[in-house]
Amino acid sequence: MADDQKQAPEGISAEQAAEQLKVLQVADLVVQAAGGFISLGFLRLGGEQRDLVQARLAIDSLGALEPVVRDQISAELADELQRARAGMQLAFAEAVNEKTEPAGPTAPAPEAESDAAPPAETPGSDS
Amino acid sequence: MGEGQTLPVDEQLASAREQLENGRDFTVAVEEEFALLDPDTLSLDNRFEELQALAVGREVEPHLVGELIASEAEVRTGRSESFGEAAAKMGERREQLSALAEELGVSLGASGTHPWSSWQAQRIIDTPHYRRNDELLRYVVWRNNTFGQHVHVGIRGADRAVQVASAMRNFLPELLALSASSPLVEDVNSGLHSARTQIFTRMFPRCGVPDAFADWREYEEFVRFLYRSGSISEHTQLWWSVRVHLSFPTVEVRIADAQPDLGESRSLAALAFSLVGRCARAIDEGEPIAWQPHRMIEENLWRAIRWGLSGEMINLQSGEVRSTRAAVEELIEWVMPVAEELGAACFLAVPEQNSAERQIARFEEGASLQEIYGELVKGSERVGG
Repeated sequence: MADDQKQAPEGISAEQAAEQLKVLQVADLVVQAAGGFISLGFLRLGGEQRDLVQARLAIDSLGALEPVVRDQISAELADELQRARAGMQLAFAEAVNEKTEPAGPTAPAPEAESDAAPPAETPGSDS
Repeated sequence: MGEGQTLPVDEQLASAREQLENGRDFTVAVEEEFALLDPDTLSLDNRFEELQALAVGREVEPHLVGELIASEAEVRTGRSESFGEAAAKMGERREQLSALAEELGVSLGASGTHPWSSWQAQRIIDTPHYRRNDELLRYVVWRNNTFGQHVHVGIRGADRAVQVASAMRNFLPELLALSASSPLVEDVNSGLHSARTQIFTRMFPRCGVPDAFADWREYEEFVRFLYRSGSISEHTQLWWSVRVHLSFPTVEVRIADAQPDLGESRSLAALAFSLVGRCARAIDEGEPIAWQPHRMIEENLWRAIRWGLSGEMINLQSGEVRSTRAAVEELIEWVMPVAEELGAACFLAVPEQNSAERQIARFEEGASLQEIYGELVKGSERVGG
């Protein structure tokens, strides 16, 4: 078989694959993987494909990848990754709360009338 | 009784106890303090009153409060039923505050100290509370140009809340180490990771690590003693780094430096929240948590102030010394089952470097204080809610 007929798995020629490899940066692969975690993570956070264990794995994996690649990519892309992870975290927390009753490990208590945070004139602050 | 106290002490304590007895577990509210800055120089800018006036009629108005100096603003999530809700509100509040600040023409800083603005140039805001603090504390309060993050966690039961707060004392150093964001102050690299703690927590009376109280009765007796002896005129003069609040049925964790990064701020709040939950769980199930003596916790607190996440901490049970990073990781592992139940687990993480470590690294690379602070301000502006 002639060289030009060899096919890489994605359907591109071996020469094309070799050319791509010459310019490919590891950071590109990391970003690609991060994109995969984001897509799959959001998919596992809701609907019929909901699987919170998998979603959590996607969040944690994204969290591990992001600092590795932060200095190798544009600030805008780094921000996008951070925002996506934050969005997944918030969606995850919401999903957990939908699944479980509030009040957590101890027996549910009646609704308290007061707020958990101080009003404007009450310093709950440093000083 | 001073003019700050509106209810007689007995009534106040009875009301606080009743609120705690009828309180609800694990509601949560987060307060974040920000520096108001001149956008050109990034120096502190005394414009809180203008910011507050601009907020009138907007969604953020009831959540925006003054904090001691006119170059500081605080936003509060308000009571949230779950950690996820509080985390979402933290983002919203930051966005609302940023929008307001932009309209006014100020920038926002969110580290524990300002790197160069002098305390002499800051004006104390004109409220009865801060006028009283000014008269009472003088130099101690003038010097306190610091910015923190506080987390209120709802706890049902007065005795239980006091016991949770007593247990939480042990973990204040780890929380501080994780949060450290204030190595730069008074125009120098202080050599500390949390200069805020040295300026605020070490200088204020009734601040830092409190004594352990066995139950509500013991706590109440001490508060009563303070009022009776004229030591305090309002309960907020208990400035401890963890306290049972006397207006709200919460345990309030007050040790942390402010966070430039929203994600890290949520992560830190998640750890404080989960720790309170884990301590409550331990108390409910009879799991022993040793209430370490003040002098022992102080050893770790100093390590947190000086070396932050880069240092070492003592396991106060075994005496073993290990890296602070390992100590925080152990703590996260310990709280994880409760954090998972309460929806906070996915926020828990130890960053590769925390804010203090990043600032120190930049300083050692030769960056100026202005460059470092500029990057912090830009970073927190770029990633909003």
